[in-house]
This record gives sequence, C-alpha cells and structure tokens, in this order.
Amino acid sequence: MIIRVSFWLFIGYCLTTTFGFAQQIKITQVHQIASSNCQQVSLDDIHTPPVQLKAVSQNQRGCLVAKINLKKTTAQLALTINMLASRKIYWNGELIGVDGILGNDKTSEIPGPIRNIHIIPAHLLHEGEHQINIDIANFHIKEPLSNLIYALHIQPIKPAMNYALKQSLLPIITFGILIFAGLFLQVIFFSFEKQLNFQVVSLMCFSSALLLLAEHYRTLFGYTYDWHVFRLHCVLALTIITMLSIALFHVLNMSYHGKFKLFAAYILLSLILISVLDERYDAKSFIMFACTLLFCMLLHLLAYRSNPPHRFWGAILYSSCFFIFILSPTGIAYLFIEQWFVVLQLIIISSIIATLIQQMQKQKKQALSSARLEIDLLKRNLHPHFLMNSLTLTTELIETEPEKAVQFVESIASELRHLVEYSSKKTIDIKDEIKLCQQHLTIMSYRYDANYQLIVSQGEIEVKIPPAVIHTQIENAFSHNRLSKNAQFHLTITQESEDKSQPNKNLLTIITLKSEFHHQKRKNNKLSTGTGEKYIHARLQESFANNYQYLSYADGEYWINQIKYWN
Amino acid sequence: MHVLIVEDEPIIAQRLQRQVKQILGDQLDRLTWYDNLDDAELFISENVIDLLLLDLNLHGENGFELLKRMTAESFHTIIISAYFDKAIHAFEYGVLDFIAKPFNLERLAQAIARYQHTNSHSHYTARYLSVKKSGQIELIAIADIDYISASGHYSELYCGNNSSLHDKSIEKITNLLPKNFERIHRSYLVNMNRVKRLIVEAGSKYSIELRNGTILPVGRTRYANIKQKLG
Repeated sequence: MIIRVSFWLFIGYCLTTTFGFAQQIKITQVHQIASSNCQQVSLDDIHTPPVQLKAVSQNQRGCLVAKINLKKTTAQLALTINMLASRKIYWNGELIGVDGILGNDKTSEIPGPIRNIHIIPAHLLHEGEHQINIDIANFHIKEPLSNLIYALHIQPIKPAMNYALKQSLLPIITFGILIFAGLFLQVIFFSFEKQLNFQVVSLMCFSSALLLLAEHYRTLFGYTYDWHVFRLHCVLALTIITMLSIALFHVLNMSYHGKFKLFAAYILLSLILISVLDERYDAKSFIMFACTLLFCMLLHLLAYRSNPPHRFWGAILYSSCFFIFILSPTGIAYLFIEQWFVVLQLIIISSIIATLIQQMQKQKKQALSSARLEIDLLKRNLHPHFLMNSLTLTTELIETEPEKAVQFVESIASELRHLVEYSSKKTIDIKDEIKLCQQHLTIMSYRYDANYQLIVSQGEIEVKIPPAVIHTQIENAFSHNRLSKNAQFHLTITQESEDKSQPNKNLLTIITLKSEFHHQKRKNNKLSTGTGEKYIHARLQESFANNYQYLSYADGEYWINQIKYWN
Repeated sequence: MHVLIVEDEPIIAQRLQRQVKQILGDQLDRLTWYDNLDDAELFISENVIDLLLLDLNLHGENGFELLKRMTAESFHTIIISAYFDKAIHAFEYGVLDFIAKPFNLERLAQAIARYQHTNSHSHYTARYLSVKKSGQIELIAIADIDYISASGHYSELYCGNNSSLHDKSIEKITNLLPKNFERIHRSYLVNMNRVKRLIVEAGSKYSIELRNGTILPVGRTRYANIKQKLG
C-alpha cells in the first residue's frame, strides 16, 4: 500500500520539478587569459575564442572575462557565483565582490568561500552590454577535477537569497526523518528483536541522512573551496554505504539469508569498482545509484516471477525508478543529483521501512499462530477426557495387572514425548507421523481392550507433513465413532508429477486415511467436533499456504480423510 | 439391589463392577453394564433399577439433557466423569453424587453409602428436581417447593397451587434435598422456611400451618425434633 502511494508521489514530484525553473541569466562561456591586471582587461584586447566553463583550469592565477546583455529592468540583481577559486569580481571595471585573498602561489593565496551571492549596484544595471571580469586564484584544489565552476548566473536578489532555503527544505526534513527512523530501529533492535534486517535499514537511514547533509552542505552552510575535495570524498563513501545497505535489505527481504555475506562482499566490491572507474564524482554517484536500482529491480522481477501478487508494486516501483533515472537526459540527471535524488531516496527508504513493518507484522502473526498450534496439540493430551480416563485405567491395571499397567504408562509417556518433540516443528517425516499414530492406536487398544491397526501402503515415498495431522484424524475417528474391536485404519500415500519431464516440480501428494465408520444415531459426543478439523486446516495452511486441499467425508462403510498438496 | 453401569471403556467398567461387588456384597442382586447410552436407555425402559453409575461427558447441552432425563427417574444417579469442573453444575440437577476420575474404592463406597442412608441430606445443594410431565422433562426449583407428600412409590411436589408427580420415593428425594427440608410425618416432607406455626391440639395431636394456609399433620414421634428446630 505505502509502496503504491510512494510510486505515484514520485511521478508527481518529477513532473512538477521539471517545469519549474527560476528566471536567470546563465553565463556559460568565458574568455580565460593569464593577466595579473584583470580589472583592466577589455574584451577588445582578447583575441582567443571563449571557452566552456568546465575548461577553466586549476592551480593558476588567471582572469575570466564574460559578456552579457541586460534587458531593461527595475529589479535588484545579484550575481550567484559557485566555483573552486578565490576571486575578485569586477562589473564593467568596478569591483563588486571579493571572496578570499588572491595570490600568485599556494602560500600567498587564502581560499575564499566556494559559494557567494554578490549584489550588483543599481547604477551598473543599465540596458545593454556589460562586461564581467573575475580575477581568480585556485591553488588549493587538492586533486585534479574536471569541473571547477558550478554556478555563474545573474538573477533577482530575492530568488537568489531564497535558493538555499528552497533547495534545502526537503533535504532538511528528510534528514530529520531519517535520523529519527535510524534511532528508532536501533531501539527496536536492542530492546525487542535482534534481527539483521533492523541493523541494515538503520545503517541505510543514518548513511543516507549523512549523505543528504554532505550533498547539501555547500548550499546550506558553505565552506572555503579547499574543503571541496574532502566533501566529495565524504559523499562518495556515504553513497557506497547507502547503496550497499539498500541492496542488502532487498537481499535479506527476498530470503537469501544464507548467502548474505557473499552478496555483501560482491555488492561492496562492485560499488568500489564503479567508484574508481570514472573520474567524475557526479558520474560515480550516478552510476552507483543506477546499478543499485537495476539490482533491486532484477531482484524484484525474479521474486515477482515466483510469487506474483506479492511483489507486484515493488517490481513496478524499482523498474520505473530505474528507467526514469536512466532515460532522463544528462542535464536532468545532474539536476537530479541536486533535487530528485532526495525524493527518490525518501521514496525508496519509506518503501523499505513499510516492507520492514509488514514483515514484522507477518512474523508476529506467524509466531503467534505457531505458538497457538503447538499449545493446541499439547493441550489435547491434557484434555480431561483423555488424561483422567487414562489415569483411571492405570489405577485399575495397577490393582489387577501391574505388568500391563507399566506397559500402558510407558506407551502414554512415549506418545507424549513425541508430541512434545514434534509440536514445535512445522513439518515432520511421514515415518514419524506413522509411528505416532501407531503409538496412539496402542494406547486406544489398551483403553478399549481392542486390537486397532494402522495399515500403511506407502512404498518408497518420503513425504513431509505437519505434525500430528493424521494423528488428529485418528483421534477424531474415536471421538465420533464406536469402532469395532478389530478396526483397521488404512493409510495410502501417493505422489505424482503433473509434468513427467520434471519429476520434482509441481508434485501432487495425496495422503488418504480410510477408517471404519458407523453412523452415530446419537450426537452425544459432539464435544470436540471442529477443534480437530481446525487444527488440521491451520497446520496445512501454515505449511502449504493455499496449495492444499483437505477433504473429510463418509463413503459407505468408511470415513475418508484426504489431504492433497502441491509443491 | 440392582445397579446399572454405563461406561464406554471396558477396563474402567471392569473396575466399577469389581468395586461395586466388593462394596455391596450380598446386598447386590443384579449388576448390569452397557458401553453405550442407547442400549442403556432401552434397558432402563424395560427394567427396574435402583442405582445408575453413569460415565458422562458433560460438555455441551447433550450431557445435561440426559442428566435431566435420568434424574427424573425413580432411581438415583451417580455421575462418574473426567470433567470434575462440571460437578457443581451436575449437582444442581439432583444427582446423588459426583465422582471424579480417577477414583478409588473408598470414594465409591462413600457415594453408595449416601444411597443407603435414607435420612442423609445432600452435601451439595441441588437447585432443581426434574419431573416428567406429559412426556416432557420439566425442572422444578427446589426453593419454590412448599412440601412434598408420599404417594405410593412416588411423591407429589407442591409449589403454591401446583403439584407435580416425581418418580422417586419420598426417601430418595430426601437424599437430594438441603437441610431445610424436614420429614414431619411418614408421608410429609416440609420446607421449614415456609412454616408459619406449630399447632398443638387436644389429645396430643400436632400439626403445622404453612404460610399459604395449608395444614399438615406432624408425627407424634417427630414432634420434639420439629419443635426444637422451629425454636
């Protein structure tokens, strides 16, 4: 349900963000010249063609010159600048902003803030052509980067100032939610259930919260540009951890518990491999995220193939995330890192937490019903009718035939021991079930001074069935019937494959118990009608879900109990 | 004395038979055993018995329906059951005793002794007596009974203006009733809570007046006891 809602929210968010750009004049090309007197440089003196922003090189003292055209405007304008360099900015030769202290080498330069907004004085804003000169020094970038300028644009002051808040609101909220969720899962892990799942999801919450913080630290708080590479390393490490935990959660969720460590090693290795393959940090994150989505999508599709209704929305969610992500043009992909990433993350994490909650509920329910079935089975042997009559019989045998009393007590003890042993299991071997039934018939033979027999035509078939299911059918035969002294029970087990070429697939197993049946005129012994049947259904449901059929009917002189199941 | 045992497990039935023989000795004229109720009920309709030892699963309504039918009969019923938690409920319907399984000789002897001592009262309070009325079984609340009179082998229960015939003798009914029922005469058993006054007439003739105006004779030998009880 939550997965479904988050899917539609995701689509909605993508549509609204794509069509909502703020009005701004972007500078995309600059002239790059080596001049120590940047303020004086005029466009007329430059004879080299302009270059793209990303062609600006590092470890230099240089001058960037750009030309823009302003339309007539009354608005106050500001220059947003986001680049890895200390700088002095001149507007038509007039100094409008300084970030850091420039120098001609690493020691004389003191790095300035990476991002700043400089207000352009009103008297410079006449209509027509303008020239922007930026004197830069960037000796403090700690490793070669492919792109040094992230933003260079002119826009009205208000949106420029609001940009940081607008961009960071959703990440801040998400950050809070994620930290809270992570802590909550830790509390659950340490005080209730020590499941690996909780640790994985908690790790995912913490790492993606920190990832968001690292991603948005520049817009939120700012820093001097020499810290930029360090931040990129943090982002990379946190991306690896987040992607690893997302992938591992799905590995656990699809019940590949046994291969958990193997999967963890492979996924981590692939992520690290991706992180060294490409030099561009944005590309690294992008590919890692795409691969994680692809991996989750494949896991879901595989699961969908084996258990369709259950995995439908999960498969849809991951497939659509993957394709939207992959097919979006590169421009949008970069925008994505800024904007959509947080949304996609939020959706994936909320769907994961929803799955986790569903899982917990399911486990709790299952544990409850398993515990109830176990108690049910044991309680039947403490049922006064069985227990007190057996004790009365024992007292009589002690007084008249002590040796027989010992044998009787031993067979009761043996049956009880086996019931206790089997009651906690989901299934047992048919051999054990048959033994249990024979023990019960021995006890009943003592009680009714009769000779009851169980005749099994089984062959070589090895089948597993829920404990005490046939035992319960035999018990029912006694409580609803007056059996003759030499009554026989016939147990038949057959197994056949629907597809002869694949003998182990789609196996149909039929277990039939045929017992003597006398129609009771009196409905006096109605006391336990239904409780035995309920037990049988609950046990079969637990083991075979809906892939079973249970029939119980009279056929002339006989009563037929038939279990059919497919696996 | 004719005892009927209804018990579906042969070895437990064997135990009951063995112990009943041991307790009653020569007093036992006949002992019959059935392992099912259908045969037992057919037998009861054609034979006279004195005591029924009945193994009964008292779960569900069927058990109590049967109990009502049996307690309306002339014989006493002792329940022998694995469901000890149902004992109190069974007593309300007027069974003589309730023996929980597993049981021993002493406990069975104690129950049979209660049958033999005609003047003993029930340790437990029966709340109803079941009577047959035109083929139907009706429950009469014991608290509503004013007095009971002997009527041959039967007895007549009087409640206000109504009376009902019970198949048990006045002696057997005494066994089932609480202590406030007092035998004032060979033929009368009175609920002492309904007595208005004791009347002494000339010639040592004694009688009791009930609140509803009914006057009943008091046996000469029983007068002193009754006077003491009324304080």
